[in-house]
Amino acid sequence: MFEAVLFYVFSLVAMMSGVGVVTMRNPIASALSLVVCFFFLAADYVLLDAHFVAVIQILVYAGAIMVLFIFVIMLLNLRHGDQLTFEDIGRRSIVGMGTAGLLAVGLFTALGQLPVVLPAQIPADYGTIAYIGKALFEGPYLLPFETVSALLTVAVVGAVVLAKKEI
Amino acid sequence: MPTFNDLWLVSPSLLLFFGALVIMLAEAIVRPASKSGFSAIAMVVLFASAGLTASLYGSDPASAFGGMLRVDKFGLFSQLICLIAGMLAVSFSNDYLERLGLRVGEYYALVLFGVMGMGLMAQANDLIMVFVSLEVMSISMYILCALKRADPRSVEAGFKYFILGAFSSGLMLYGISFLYGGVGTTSLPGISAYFMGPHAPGQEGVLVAIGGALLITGFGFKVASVPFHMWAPDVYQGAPITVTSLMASGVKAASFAAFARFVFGVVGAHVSGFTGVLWWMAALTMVVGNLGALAQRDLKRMLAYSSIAHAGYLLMALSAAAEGSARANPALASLLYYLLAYTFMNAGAFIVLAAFTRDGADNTDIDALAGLGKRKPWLAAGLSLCLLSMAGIPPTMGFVGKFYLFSAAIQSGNVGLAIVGALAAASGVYYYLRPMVYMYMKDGHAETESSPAAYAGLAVSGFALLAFGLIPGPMLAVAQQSLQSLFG
Repeated sequence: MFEAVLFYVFSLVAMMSGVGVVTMRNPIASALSLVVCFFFLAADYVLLDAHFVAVIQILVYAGAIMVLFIFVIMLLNLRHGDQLTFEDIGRRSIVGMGTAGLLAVGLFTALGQLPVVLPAQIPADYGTIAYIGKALFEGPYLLPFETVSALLTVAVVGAVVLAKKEI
Repeated sequence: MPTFNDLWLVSPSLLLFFGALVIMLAEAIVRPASKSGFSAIAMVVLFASAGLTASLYGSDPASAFGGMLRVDKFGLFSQLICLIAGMLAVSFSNDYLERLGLRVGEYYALVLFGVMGMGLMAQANDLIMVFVSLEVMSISMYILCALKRADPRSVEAGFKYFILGAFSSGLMLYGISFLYGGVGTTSLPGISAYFMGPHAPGQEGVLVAIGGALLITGFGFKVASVPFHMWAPDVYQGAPITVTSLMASGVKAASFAAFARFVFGVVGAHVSGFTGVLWWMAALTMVVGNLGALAQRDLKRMLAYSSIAHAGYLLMALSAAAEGSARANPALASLLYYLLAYTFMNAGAFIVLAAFTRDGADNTDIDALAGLGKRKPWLAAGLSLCLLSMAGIPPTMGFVGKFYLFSAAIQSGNVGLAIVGALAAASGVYYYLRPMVYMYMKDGHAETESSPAAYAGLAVSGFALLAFGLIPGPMLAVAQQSLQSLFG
């Protein structure tokens, strides 16, 4: 019961800071709002027994990716007058809200049909790092995991080839 | 745990991976002057990988890596098409890149990585594997598109492809999560078994409907089908010609192979609404592709619209195939045959176009062709053959392919779709014949430059188009045979 209450509180904060990301006028404030969103999402993951995902969420998203965002914002060197303005947002917001509404209807209908299929028994160590490690290295996910290494190599090569001064 | 046999089953992809690593390491130490050797290395690696694929083709279908891959004849045939597309693209890469002033070993490494992703995607039997290999393929292609960094068009192509591709990948991943929520597994046979088994009817309805629709959007983007085709003309025009050639045929073959597996695993007989969606996508793609090509004066753009039109014919086969069983399905066999035909005619046409590139810039305007028939009769003949094949005129492979595509569509009861397709294809003859008018009936001095390797690539394409067009039986039999183990 206590966990359920926490879950909803965390989710609410995550959603509110998510809205903050799009509505704040100062880019730094937007970015910090995103950090808050990431942290509370990570808290939700912990409550869902997805420890590994929670740690990665903090390390990669709230850590590395956010630093990158803030670096870029700093490098752009925005002056006070350059804050984002919301001109001509009327029509776009109608399209956005329409899409979001459609998605919400779809999601709620889908949620109404849950639970669909749950495994008969969930292992006790489900979601722990040991469990994920076994699934990645001994279980069925070895090949996709190794293919991701090729994917990362390609991405690094691409970044260098496209950004290097002379090739 | 993976066994030695698992490694043997993915050996074609492993070889490509190590080949790419060798090229990247060599790039760091070789002198710039000897960098032209990379194309030879890439060609050898692709050829060896094709040899391994062909030797696997004879063995029984098997699952590798805990069901992540299904190494069956269907997947191997598709992988072979991707490898052929890679070899043909590499055949004219070296001197083309030289003329563009691009001397980079990474190009070949990325081509090998891209082809590896294509091959894995054609055999992927689990939506996670489909997604990861699709990304390996796509990211290689995004980078290759933007490789002419000094040319704003090329950078625009890479950027546009990247942004839209990332968006479509996101949609696809979202769709996969919906399907997983509805069915409880990401493995294609697992999903299929779920639908066959006793489940409460209608319970998974919305989740599967949203997931399937999002996945179809993702695949539709990759094969450039209407209404997800808007990126194709700009990207095909901006990218280096060799990359366009690989993109138009290899990416298409891999995406259609994965699409077909998905259609039989999920859409097939289970979810009736999707066959209607495929029907409309096929009809719109054929019409828009052919009509769009009519107005183009730039040959690369024209071929881009023609590639959209061809995606439409292939979608027609898929839509017809979705209503039958997976084995002994004439529509699916004609899909494989047509993909092979398209690979040859597409690469041949681009090899000729690449010959016009001089002083670091492409020249693909239709006026450039004027007088080619007199000055370079062999190049003109090669381009004419490829264009005739694309238009579906006998005795080329394109004619046989179209014939089987349309007859399979009619056999499965899709007469309306076949009529739409035939009308669209008939209007396409106009724009395929117009370059020939320029080549043979206009005076001009077409300036071209081609290496022996490019001529060899063109000769192989032309020979295959004629040989399999005149004697289509054996290749069609192979395509038929490739289906027997699908989902076996």
